[in-house]
Amino acid sequence: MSEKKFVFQDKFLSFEGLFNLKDMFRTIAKWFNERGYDMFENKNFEEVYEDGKKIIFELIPYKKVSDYYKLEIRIFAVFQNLKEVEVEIKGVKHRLLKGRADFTFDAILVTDYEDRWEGRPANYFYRAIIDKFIYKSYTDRYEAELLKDAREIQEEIKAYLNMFRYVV
Amino acid sequence: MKKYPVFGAPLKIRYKGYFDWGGLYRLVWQWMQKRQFRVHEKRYKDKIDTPLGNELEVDVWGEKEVTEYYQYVIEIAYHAWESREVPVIENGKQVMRMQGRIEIKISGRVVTDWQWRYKPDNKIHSVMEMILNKAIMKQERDIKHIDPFDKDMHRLEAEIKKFLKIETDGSSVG
Repeated sequence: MSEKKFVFQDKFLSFEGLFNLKDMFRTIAKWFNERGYDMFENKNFEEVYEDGKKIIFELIPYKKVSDYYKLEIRIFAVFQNLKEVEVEIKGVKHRLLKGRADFTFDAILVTDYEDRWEGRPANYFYRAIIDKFIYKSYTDRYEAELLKDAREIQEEIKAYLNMFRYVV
Repeated sequence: MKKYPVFGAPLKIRYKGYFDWGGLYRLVWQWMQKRQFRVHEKRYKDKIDTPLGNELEVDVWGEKEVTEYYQYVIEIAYHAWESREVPVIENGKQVMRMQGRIEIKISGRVVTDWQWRYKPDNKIHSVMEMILNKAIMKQERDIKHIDPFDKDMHRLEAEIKKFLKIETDGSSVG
C-alpha cells in the first residue's frame, strides 16, 4: 500500500451567515483546476427538510507530481439549516443561502501511489532508506508545496465566505 | 485481460426529498447511450420495506469498446429507501414524484485486452501482457483513457446533481 503522510490535518473553518454555495463550489473547483489538480468528488449528499437543507460534500483533489509523489487535499464540508434568501446587492437581486457551514481540511502527501515498492519486506526496507536519505529533498519540497496549497485554499474559502458578511 | 479502476472509491451522491425517479433513470440511460455504451440492467429490486415506503435497488452498467485493446465499463448503483410516489404540484401542474432517500454510486474501469488475446494460462502471453500494461501502454492508458473517462464520469455526476436540483450542482471538472 502507498504511504500517506499528513502534513496538514484537521484544520477547521466555521461560518454562519449568507453565502452562495453554487458559486463557492465553482470557485473551489476552479482554484484546484488552475493549480493542476485533478478533481475527485468523493461524496455529495443533500437532504431536504421542511425547516431547511443539509448538505455534505467531500472533495479530494489530487496532483500527481511524479510517478512516486501525489499531493492530496481533502475538503470535507457540512452545511446545516440552510434556508434560501433573496438579497439585493448593488441593485441586483441574488439568491443566497443562509445557514451554518463547517469545513475540515487535510493535506496528505502520498508516496509510492502506484505500489511499485510493495510486496517483499526487502523492497519496503529499501524504500524506507531511499525515502529517508535520497528522496528527502523532494519530500521536503513537495510537503512545502502541499502545505502552501492547503493554506491557500483555506484562505480562499475564508475570503469567499467573508464576501457576504455585511450583506443584510 | 486486466481491469483498472478509474476511482479508488465510487462517486457518491445522496439525496433526501422529492425526485423524478423515471426521469433520473432515463437521464443516466440516455447519457450512456449517447456515448455509445451498451447498457444493461443487472438488477431491479423493489422491496416493500416499511410503512413509510419501498426500498429500491437498481444496478445499471454499460460497456464500450474504444479500441481493439481498451474497453470502458461504467456502473451505476441506485439505492432508495422509504420511497413512495406522491402527487406534487410542479409549475402549476400535478405530477407524480418519488419521495424518499436515494444514494447513487458511480464507478468505472478501463479494461485492457478485452478480447482475451493474451491467455492467462500461457506464461509467455502473461509476460507480454505485463510488459505492455506496465511499460509500453502505461502512459497511454493513464493519460488517454483513464483521465478522460474520469472527467466524463464527473460530468455525469454533475448532470445527476443538476437533475436532482442539488445546490452544489456545478461540475468540478469543467
